[in-house]
Amino acid sequence: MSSLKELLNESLNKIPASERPEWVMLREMRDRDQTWSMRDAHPDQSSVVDTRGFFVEVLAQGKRAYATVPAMGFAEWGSQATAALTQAIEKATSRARYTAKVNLFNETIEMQPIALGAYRTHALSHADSAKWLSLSDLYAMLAQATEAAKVSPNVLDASALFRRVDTEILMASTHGTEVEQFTTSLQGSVSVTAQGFGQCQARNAFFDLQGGPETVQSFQWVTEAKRIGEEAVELLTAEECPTGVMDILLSPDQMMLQIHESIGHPLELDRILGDERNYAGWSFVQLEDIGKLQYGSSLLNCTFDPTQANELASYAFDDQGTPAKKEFLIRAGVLERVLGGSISQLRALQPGVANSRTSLWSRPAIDRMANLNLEPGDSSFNEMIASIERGVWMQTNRSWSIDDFRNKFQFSGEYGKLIEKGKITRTVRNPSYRGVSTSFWRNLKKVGNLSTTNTHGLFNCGKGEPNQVIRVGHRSPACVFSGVEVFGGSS
Amino acid sequence: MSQSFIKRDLKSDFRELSQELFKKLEPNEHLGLFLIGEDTDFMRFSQSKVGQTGHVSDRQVQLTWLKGESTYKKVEARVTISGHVAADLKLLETEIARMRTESAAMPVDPYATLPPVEASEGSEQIETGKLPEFNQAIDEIFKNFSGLDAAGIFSSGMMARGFSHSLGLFHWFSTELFQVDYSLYTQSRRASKHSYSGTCWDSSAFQSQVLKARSQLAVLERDPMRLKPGSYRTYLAPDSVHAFIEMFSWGVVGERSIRKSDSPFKWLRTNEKEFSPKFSLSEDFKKCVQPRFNDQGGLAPETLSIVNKGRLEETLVSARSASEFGLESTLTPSGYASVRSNGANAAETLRAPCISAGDLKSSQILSGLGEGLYLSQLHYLNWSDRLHGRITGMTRFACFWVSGGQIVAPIENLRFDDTLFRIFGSELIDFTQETEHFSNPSTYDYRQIGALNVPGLLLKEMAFTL
Repeated sequence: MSSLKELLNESLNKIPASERPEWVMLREMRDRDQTWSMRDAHPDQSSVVDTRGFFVEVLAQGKRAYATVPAMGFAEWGSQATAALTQAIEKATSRARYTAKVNLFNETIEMQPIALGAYRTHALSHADSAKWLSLSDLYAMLAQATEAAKVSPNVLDASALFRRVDTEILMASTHGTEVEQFTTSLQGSVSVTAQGFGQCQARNAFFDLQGGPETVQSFQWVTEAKRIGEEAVELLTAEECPTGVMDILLSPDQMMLQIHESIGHPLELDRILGDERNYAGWSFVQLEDIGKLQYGSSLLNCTFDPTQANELASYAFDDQGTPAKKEFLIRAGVLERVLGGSISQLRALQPGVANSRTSLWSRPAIDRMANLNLEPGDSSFNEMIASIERGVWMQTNRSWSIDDFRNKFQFSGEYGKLIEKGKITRTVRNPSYRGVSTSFWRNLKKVGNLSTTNTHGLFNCGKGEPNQVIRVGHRSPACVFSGVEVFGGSS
Repeated sequence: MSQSFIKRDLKSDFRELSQELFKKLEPNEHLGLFLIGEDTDFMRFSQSKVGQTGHVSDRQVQLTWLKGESTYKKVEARVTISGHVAADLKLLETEIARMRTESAAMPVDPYATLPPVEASEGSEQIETGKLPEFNQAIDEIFKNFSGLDAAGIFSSGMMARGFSHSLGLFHWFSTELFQVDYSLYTQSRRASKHSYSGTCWDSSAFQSQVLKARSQLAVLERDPMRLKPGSYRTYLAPDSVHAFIEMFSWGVVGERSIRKSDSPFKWLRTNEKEFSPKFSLSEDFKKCVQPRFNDQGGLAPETLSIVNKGRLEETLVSARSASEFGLESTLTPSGYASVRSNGANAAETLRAPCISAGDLKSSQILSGLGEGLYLSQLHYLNWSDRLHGRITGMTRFACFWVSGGQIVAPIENLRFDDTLFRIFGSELIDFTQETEHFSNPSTYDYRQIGALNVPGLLLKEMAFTL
């Protein structure tokens, strides 16, 4: 750790004192993203994306600015790193000074978090690599899964994928921050496309978690492959999801998109402040809603929780150095707090969370979701089914769309089951629904208990200019919503 | 250090790096390198003030390593490099050694192929421009935005792509491009969207554009109309047509998607459905300047007709699809089997899409619409039923209700849910005579090169659901 701080000091010391910025943070980030996949028992992908570099951020005349230096750390690059970093500090300082006259928000050194500490993905020993599957075993496992999915001639295509992302972030600043964080994020999936009877249907099973070898081995690759193969074929002859206003029961793998799009994004404070208007959009939530807005029914409890050991966006500090802790965003349906990092909080004069994050070594940190969870309730799965007179149980998101203020949405699931008079009756295909965020969450009728809860995540949440795609976690029970506009696919 | 010196260094460094790596290949090993390089000034703004600003220098090399004589094992890696050849050589040698080790554990990939390697297919295209200095851009942008609430991003700088292969292929493309992608807001939280991009900054052109945009804000301040779900006569401005065309790259025009039977183009192939004879879609690399070569060394033709007067002519075929589906193959001069695709990238996405213009004059758009919706821009499109070409999305910037051929008021946002076969088929009245050019503003992973060129579109009706 001292090497990054030393590198920062050495680089800065080459600049005459009078020309230095008031504050500098040096962030070294490396992301090694490995994917192996098989399709129909043949290799489809064996790839690595290894991105890394230095992100230099300065504060000069109250203005923040940055510059980047691609590739390798000090150990590999030696003194050339110092020269490049000095140039980067000078470039960033020049940018900061020239744009200070049109500065959106004047920052001071006192506003910058000071953080000391480290984080490592829970229960993963980096030294014990022997426990990971060998490559030949991995390929064999993926091939076996694709073969298991081919349950009938109607299964056109079956693939299995394993992805491992190892991320290192080291940060050091001129006024005391020294942080190192190492995470290992894993994604596994089995996917099937079935064709027949004039239809084409897909099913997926997956996991998206931080973890280690045990995470890979606990996913039931073959069992899941067989299940989704059968379900995809079943969908070919299933009836279309009915059209009408009715109750819906959403599984955690559909809830994750619902939470993501209609709670997570609207609560990002930089959106509320208008920074994302040109690209990702604005929010129906305004600053005066915080502490007052009845966001959902009294059953709705939503938290920002970086402490869940295996969830995708668990960490000890955000990428500006704010220590991360669990906070309620919505409690008993009332909006309590929004997703804003330290600088956004100061701009808005509102409390927030440690969510200032970057997805890539060459991008500045912005307000992001991290782990955004719906807290479990009291209802068992059977109780939720029994409570529905007529409705649809929807599983596994396949389509998502929402307006730029995060209100009018439309979602579709892969697999549906009709519920009639409190019982599951038959399979329906193309289950879809649309609604408006504010009224939808107020119609939250039942929240499942811990036994209905599952942890999922997304590797591809996109926003920001320049654009960034980041990992987020969503842990949720199954939930019932009433009075929802439901429909199916085209004939 | 001049821009041209940077470009020359980058190209010759890339060539040198490639040649050194090729010397170290073992028998029956083949290596392709794809360079991604940028030096970009970014300046993000909101409320016509600077938010985040900085400079990104990035260099990445994508390695595609194959081993075999007629069938191959294939491993890929994309790695950030520093731009210092000696250090990068060491880094990439280590990566290739890992790829070599990994390949021992993997089965042969029956669809992996070598690129077409006739040397005559090597290319060089260097687009130079006149970019604004960073300080000049700051001054002009905020002078023009004075008194406005503008949000968006300025990006400017060099972008380079290169491809080099151990069998002798070498492609190079570089450009200098700026873009101001911005939206202007009224007090009532409504906005219009604009983009000024190109290779040669023209202060008066930018000023004129912002002046025109400023003058259009007044209509956005009118009280909005709330419309009920239903079907409405609709004009899709070029930026809205752009949103639909982007969906064609999502499992539609690729050969693999059609063969997998989940692309709506499968109905075109079997002649069960067709588009309007007024709809012609092509890839046109003369109109949308960007590299014709892809990251595997495949070279797209200058133009490729995909839909011609409503009928499917060609799909995008990657080398892998050509191999998998047994399409045309050839022997290279070196004696290796190489499958000839039509230069599509691995994801079989559109890179230079163009829609042919129609006969509707700009002056006749509103009168042609009569009463209905004028949609400048759409948002967050996704498939509601991809097999049947059904797409949902939202209206977004500068969308209006028109009556008696006049813009009456902005509308509260509406959700649509309609099919490609209606929008580009049964409901299509005409495209406009004028087309608009859109540079790709995407900066996921790195700054993207790309563009499209599309007209506006007048529809008999379009279905809105919420």
